[in-house]
Amino acid sequence: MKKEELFNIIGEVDEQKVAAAGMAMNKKKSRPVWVKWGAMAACLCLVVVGALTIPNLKNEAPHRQDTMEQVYTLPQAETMRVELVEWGGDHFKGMVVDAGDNSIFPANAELSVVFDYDTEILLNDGTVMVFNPDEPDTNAIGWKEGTIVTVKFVNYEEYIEDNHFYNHAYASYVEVAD
Amino acid sequence: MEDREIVDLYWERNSNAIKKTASKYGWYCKTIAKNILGNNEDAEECVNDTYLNTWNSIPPDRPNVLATYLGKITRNLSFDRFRHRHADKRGGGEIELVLDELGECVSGADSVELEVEKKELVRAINSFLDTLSQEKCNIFLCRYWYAIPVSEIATRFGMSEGNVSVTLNRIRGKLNKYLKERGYDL
Repeated sequence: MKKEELFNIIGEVDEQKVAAAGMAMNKKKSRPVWVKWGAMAACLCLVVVGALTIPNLKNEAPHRQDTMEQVYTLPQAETMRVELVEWGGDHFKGMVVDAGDNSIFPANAELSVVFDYDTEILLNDGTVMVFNPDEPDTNAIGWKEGTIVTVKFVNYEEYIEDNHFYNHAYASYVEVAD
Repeated sequence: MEDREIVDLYWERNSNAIKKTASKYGWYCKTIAKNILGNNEDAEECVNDTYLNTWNSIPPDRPNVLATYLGKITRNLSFDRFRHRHADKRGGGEIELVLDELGECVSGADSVELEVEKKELVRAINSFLDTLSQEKCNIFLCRYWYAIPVSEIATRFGMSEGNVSVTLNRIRGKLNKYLKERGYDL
């Protein structure tokens, strides 16, 4: 096959995926690499200063961790139950069936539950799998569509109803609900 | 105006459909055409041809995702024009680099692919994309569907250019392996 044919064939892939990539290009903001490291250094300074001057941060309201990507961090993990709709490479799309004690995603909200480096997954055989986004393998988890999953999360992006599955909760722990 | 309303205008044969399309998606189509063709003049002609083709294809078509529907027409027209103009010379800008990268996944030999085989291959590539993380899938399509320069992808995704190149290289390798394991020897 010639490379031009492959380019044409790639032109025929799922239009939803193409639209999502186009949206990602428009949505993501410019962020030079130094900003990431600068932000990390600034956060470190804040943590040091905060630890010295503010004895208790635990009861503070959720705050923005990264203003460029609008990832927020809760003071402590919150829990909800989500029906698994579809698997992705490092996430699953789902719908909140029980908001539980979480204050971000209401019942019936659509969202993507994203697995990150420290996400712990209680597998059906009782073992705990720590997810590795560099080698994403959600097939190993084996939960089928329709499974109700208990999701604990600390990091999230602002919930907007019209965003559907582009709403993100970054799971810290997941297991099949009782 | 909602996409559904724009499509309705096409179905009503209302010429405002083209104005509304140009207003909402003209820039989007031109970006795709310019990525492939590398110059404004050719890109604008392709975008105008996109409107004409869309006028002729809706109806009977009723696109689910109007942006991608238009983008696909622009992509095909732009690539046809690129191939016509660059049949015997190189120097087409970004698309040359994109094709060179895709060349690593194929033999370069002539092949007689039946339409049904192409559809199966598209399905296999869709399945492969499902195995990637959302971000990697987006990066792959930004590069090989939209032909966006690596530097621009890097800026938009907050990565270094080297990181994007390495990511793309790994995805191409995985795609090659994935397709070979399923009997596709490209």
